[in-house]
Amino acid sequence: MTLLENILLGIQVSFQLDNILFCFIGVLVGTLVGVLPGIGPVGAMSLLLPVTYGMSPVGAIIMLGGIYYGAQYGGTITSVLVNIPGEASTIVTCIDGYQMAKKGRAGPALGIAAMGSFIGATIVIAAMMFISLPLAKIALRFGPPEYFSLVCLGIVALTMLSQGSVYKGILMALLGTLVGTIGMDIFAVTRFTFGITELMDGIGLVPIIMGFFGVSEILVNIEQPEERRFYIDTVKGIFPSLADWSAAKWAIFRGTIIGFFLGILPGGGALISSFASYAIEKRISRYPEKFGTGMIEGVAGPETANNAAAQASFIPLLSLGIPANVVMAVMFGGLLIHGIQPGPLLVRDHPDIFWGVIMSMYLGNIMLLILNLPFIGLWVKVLKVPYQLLFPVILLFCLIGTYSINNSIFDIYTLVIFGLLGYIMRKTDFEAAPFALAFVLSGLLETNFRQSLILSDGSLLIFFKRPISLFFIIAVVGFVVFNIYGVNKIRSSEKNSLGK
Amino acid sequence: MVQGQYNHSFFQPVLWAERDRRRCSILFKDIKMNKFDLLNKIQLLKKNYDFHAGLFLIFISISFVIMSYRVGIGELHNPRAGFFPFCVSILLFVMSFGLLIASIKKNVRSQGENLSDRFNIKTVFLILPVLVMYGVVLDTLGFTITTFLFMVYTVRILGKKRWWVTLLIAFITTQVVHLIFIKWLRCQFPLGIF
Repeated sequence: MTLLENILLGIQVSFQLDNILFCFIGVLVGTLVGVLPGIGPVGAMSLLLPVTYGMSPVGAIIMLGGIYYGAQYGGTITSVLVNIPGEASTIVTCIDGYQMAKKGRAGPALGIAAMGSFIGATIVIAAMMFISLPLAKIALRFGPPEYFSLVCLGIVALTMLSQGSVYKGILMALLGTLVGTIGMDIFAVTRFTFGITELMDGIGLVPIIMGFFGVSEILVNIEQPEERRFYIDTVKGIFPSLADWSAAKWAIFRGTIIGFFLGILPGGGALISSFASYAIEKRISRYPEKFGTGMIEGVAGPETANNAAAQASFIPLLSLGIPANVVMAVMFGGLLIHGIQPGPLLVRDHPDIFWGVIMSMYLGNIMLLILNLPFIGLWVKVLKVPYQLLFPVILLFCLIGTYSINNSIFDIYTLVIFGLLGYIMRKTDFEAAPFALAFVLSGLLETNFRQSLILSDGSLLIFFKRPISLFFIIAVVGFVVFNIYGVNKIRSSEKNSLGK
Repeated sequence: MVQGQYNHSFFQPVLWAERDRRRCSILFKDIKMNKFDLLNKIQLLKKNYDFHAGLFLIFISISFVIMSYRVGIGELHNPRAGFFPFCVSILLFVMSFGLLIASIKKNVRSQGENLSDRFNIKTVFLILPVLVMYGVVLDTLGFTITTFLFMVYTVRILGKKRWWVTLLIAFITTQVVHLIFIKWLRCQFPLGIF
């Protein structure tokens, strides 16, 4: 099918009434989750995962995806108005955004952020349309060794690019892989189950994610009484002036490019993109010393970048079948539960799903633009809900969501255990993200590893002999080397230049 | 600046290492948040729990090595169910041993820190058992009552709101959740009396 035919198919699917509804629910929940500190897209996606069981796979992806890119829009609102980042990817927006709010320019800040996000996301979706098919065609030629190396690259890249000690991150990734092997393998041999029937299918994804990213988050946050100093109560004048636009337009352009590349990169994502965009804007600017006082480029660039990256991170999942970050990993796990294996086969055999999702992303971003501009007052009201009222509801949703999967109390035990584990990990400097990603990918990793060995009749060299696989392995090594030597150089030079 | 343990995000749970925080404080020096000064001070005195972590991970990796050996490793050209876990757990063992050694070499900056300085044990014990209880009690008391009681407990005991606020919120939440999960999504929950 030609591109045009695919697009029309996609429009047809995405404009079905229930898919429109799911898209709306997804972006609404996403914005809500972005606005509220204390819960993020990963947690929200895992909470709604059980809800998607009754839906069609398209509807499920549309809704879950909407949560992710919606949260990028929502996080900006708290960052600008309260100086508290709603999402990690909107931390940088706090810097200049809040200063703009203090000067009475919250409206233009929010406006340019929303519009820049929209522009960035739309451009990336368009790029998705063009490169997904060729990418999927290349991926069809992947065999088990290529997939194994690619998944390794994804896990390593995520670990290297996240904060905190890389060594500990790798430890967590290994642990996650190991925990993922609990249960039956592809030949239906049960292992590590200690005779517990519930473990035969492995430990559930939903309790783990909710425990790590929901319950443990609440445990950590409860300790600190929250002070929120609102800068303004009502937002006026959402539309940025012409001067704002002329200052911001290049920032938006650069943000889109940065977001696209860092979003596609396994291990990258919205967080890295926003930081990179801010750093670049500051360095390129003619007035770097003014950053931190309310420069609109400092808002427009990172906001565009985080949305572009959020959209771009769908590409590896949908075209190659490899999740690029934790959020996509949850989506991947969710799809597996639906019986769908994302990847080149999906693109080829179910073009309605693939193109339906892409077209609905346009729709979703339009909805988000409307939600974030004219309806901003609604979110300001939401922001005023105190945390003491919020966390009981979040906990309740975690409980109900977990229980509703299997009506089994075992899942609740899992939730509690991983909640405790997540809390301990956070307090001892161990990251949960590598664990979660590795856990989801453990099955893929193992299956491809074993199949490669069978293919090569026992030779480990197969990973190095096949060119694409070798390429990925070199990339892994490159990442490790870069992390040890290169990053330290960049960091020290950055310290020197920023200190001035 | 921003981080210590205070990061409300599921996307990247962050407890930033010392070097990242220093780097960020250079980047973000205009932002002042007073509560984090206290947190930073705690960080500087922080005791290194790597040793305990290393021990725990070594224990786990050895258990998995033994268990995967029992399941059956097979050979390189015919890997069995235990092969992959075996390799991964060996790798884990080696790396956690490395962590253990490194933690012994590092200076422990503060000897005086108790467990309760870092971990808020009281909160943990207030919340986690209640979650388990919810599941245990759900079958006997039914969805509506259990949810209501849970909300009363969390809002009142943990959120410390007044009685009428608590009861109101508990009532509304229970109804809303009932609507969403039972009526709309048609989940199966033991319904009990109501």
